[in-house]
Amino acid sequence: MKVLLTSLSEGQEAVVVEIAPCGPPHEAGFWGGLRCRFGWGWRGENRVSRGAAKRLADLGILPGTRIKVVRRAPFGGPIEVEVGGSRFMIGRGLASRIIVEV
Amino acid sequence: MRWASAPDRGVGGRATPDLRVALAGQANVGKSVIFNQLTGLHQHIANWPGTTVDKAEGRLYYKGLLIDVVDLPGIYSLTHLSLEERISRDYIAKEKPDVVINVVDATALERHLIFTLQLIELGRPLVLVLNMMDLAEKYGIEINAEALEEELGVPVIATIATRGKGISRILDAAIELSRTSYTPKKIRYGEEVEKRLEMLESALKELDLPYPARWVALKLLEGDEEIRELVRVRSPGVIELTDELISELEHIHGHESSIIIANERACAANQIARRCMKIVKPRKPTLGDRFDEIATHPVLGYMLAAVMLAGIFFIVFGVGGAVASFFEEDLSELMREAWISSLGTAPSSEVGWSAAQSILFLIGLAIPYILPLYFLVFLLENWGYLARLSFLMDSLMHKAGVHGKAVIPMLLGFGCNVPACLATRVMDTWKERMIAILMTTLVPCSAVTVVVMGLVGRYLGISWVIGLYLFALLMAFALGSAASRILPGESVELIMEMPSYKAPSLKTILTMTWIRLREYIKIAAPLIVVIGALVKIMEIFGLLEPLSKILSPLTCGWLGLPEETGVLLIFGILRKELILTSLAALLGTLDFSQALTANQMITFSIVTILYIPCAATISALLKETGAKTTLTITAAEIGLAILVGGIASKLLLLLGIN
Repeated sequence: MKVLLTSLSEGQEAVVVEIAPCGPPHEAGFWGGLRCRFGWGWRGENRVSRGAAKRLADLGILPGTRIKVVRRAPFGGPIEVEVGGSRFMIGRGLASRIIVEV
Repeated sequence: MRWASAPDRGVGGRATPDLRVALAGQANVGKSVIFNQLTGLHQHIANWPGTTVDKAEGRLYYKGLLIDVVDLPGIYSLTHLSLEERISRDYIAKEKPDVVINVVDATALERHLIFTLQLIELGRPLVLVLNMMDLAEKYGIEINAEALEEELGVPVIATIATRGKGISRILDAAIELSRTSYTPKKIRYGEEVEKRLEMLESALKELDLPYPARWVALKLLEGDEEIRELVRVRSPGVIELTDELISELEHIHGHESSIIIANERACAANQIARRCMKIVKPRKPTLGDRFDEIATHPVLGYMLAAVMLAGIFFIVFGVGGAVASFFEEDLSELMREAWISSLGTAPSSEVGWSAAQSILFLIGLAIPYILPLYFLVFLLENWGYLARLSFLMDSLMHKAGVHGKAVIPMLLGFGCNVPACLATRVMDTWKERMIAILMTTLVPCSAVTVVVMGLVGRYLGISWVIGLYLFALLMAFALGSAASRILPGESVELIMEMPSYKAPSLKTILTMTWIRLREYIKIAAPLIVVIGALVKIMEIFGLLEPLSKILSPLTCGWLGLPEETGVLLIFGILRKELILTSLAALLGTLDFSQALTANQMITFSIVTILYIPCAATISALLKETGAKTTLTITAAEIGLAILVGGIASKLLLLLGIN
């Protein structure tokens, strides 16, 4: 079953399927969603959001990687994940773009 | 230690080094610990040309050789172009250090190998340093260093940097390597990628490129824009071929080409790690893991953070305040007497005294406040706690359009805004950095605290002070949030490693504190001295009174303050705590309640908090952001102070506070 990384509970494991260019509407917000889909807004915006996917790739978070949610920060904060023995925090907005297979 | 440090000739001095090595690695691998172990205090922090990224260089003598060490920025890859990554790869490819020392975290070998593979492909002789072997052992990870040497074709050294273990063997390996001829091992990728790589490589052979052909071929397939440009000017045909190959690859794999290459590299790293490493026992929850349960807990975590921050403030302001009063009062009086008795009170002597006073003030700020603050913050960072703080504060900081890392500069800002501005270098993008800088200049620093405590705290009570602080932070968030909407570019989300807790290395912390303190004085001193002398000259020529008159519609009319405050606010540009001492001098009494009403005290405090970054902060801003941004921030804050101060004064009147 494909779900968002943000919907996993603490301690749950999954495999990364892809890094979507935008988060779901309730995470991206109305304007964020529009900007993401149509590339509106200020310069460089789309390139930057692709940059996040590359950054994740540098850390070894790629399609096919096993990922485990260690904990979720309170108040909609970042998600701590474990990948290949090391731990990272990923901001909620970006985490909501990571689609995983449970 | 078996080597002696070099005599202080200054880095890049006349003597040419026998060996030049560069330290490369990701953040949190103990790279700076190794750098400090190697060079001690014989190091020098500057900026990489044209940037504000730190360039740390050092020099040492070892076995009769003079060795220069450059610490490259801590980066995660050489793939996508953040400034730090470009700096690192350009340095390795163009400056051609004799040996590159790649420091990796032994507890996360596989991930770090992804970066190591990229370094090997850049073609310089490489020494791989497996750091944190003690932690790896604790986690039940066994690494076969010989097998790893075989797989990568480079010497592998195991170290525990915090305890100084294995450091000299790094140097031995580097010297050894520099004396033999080195051919980098070719890392083989999957069939489809390999075939296309070879095609590109042979097409690139005739072009005169500063980088190895295979590395360029990989970068082209990854879609690296800088390398594309580099090749395009030499041969547009190769770019056409590249685009063809990329679309073939993307068709086969169904992903973007940069992801395909990243995947290939991750697979290669995985295979190497699997052959050289085994986990002998599963990772048991460590003490650090258990502590994390508290440190990141929704309730306990914030309580712990509050206790830690309160502790820092107590040490910095409680202990520091006592030391500061020695500098401000006793030492300053002694110096003043000595100055007058030897040089008299002629105008030129007075201007000279103002310069001396500025320097004295700077030391009086640096030693009691900045020194302990830096020490404590570096201690928390070294230990690993600051990452947890960023984790907790991320959602709050997002309200201002930055992520959790901005907590660190904000924290420093309470001591002094200058180190806070410098600390905004931790932010990932230009936009986030600008927002963080704007916010930190609004954080009430120790000098502002002196004014607020001396007026509002003394006559109206501590609850008003806390209220004003919260108000200042609210303004910082409001301005940050506004800036995040106005400034171009999307904010990068928080992606940060959660480091394991480590026993802090006192030597590293002390060195970092000292180096930063030195940098602070170097940045702040010149402008403070100049502006101090200027204000003194204005005073001598009687220019301050007329200026006060000119400002009076603003100070008296709109803000409802006494006319003299105009002069005080000008003094305050120099150093904000001068506002209080000058007020006392102007009134001839220390009882401020005679001259200022409650309403005026609050309004005056608000204006003091907001109205302008002080001279030292302005010089930090100039250095970090350039003249245009500095002017914009300064002008915006003066406008804000006038607007908010006036409104506050009228609101307070309505509330019945005169």
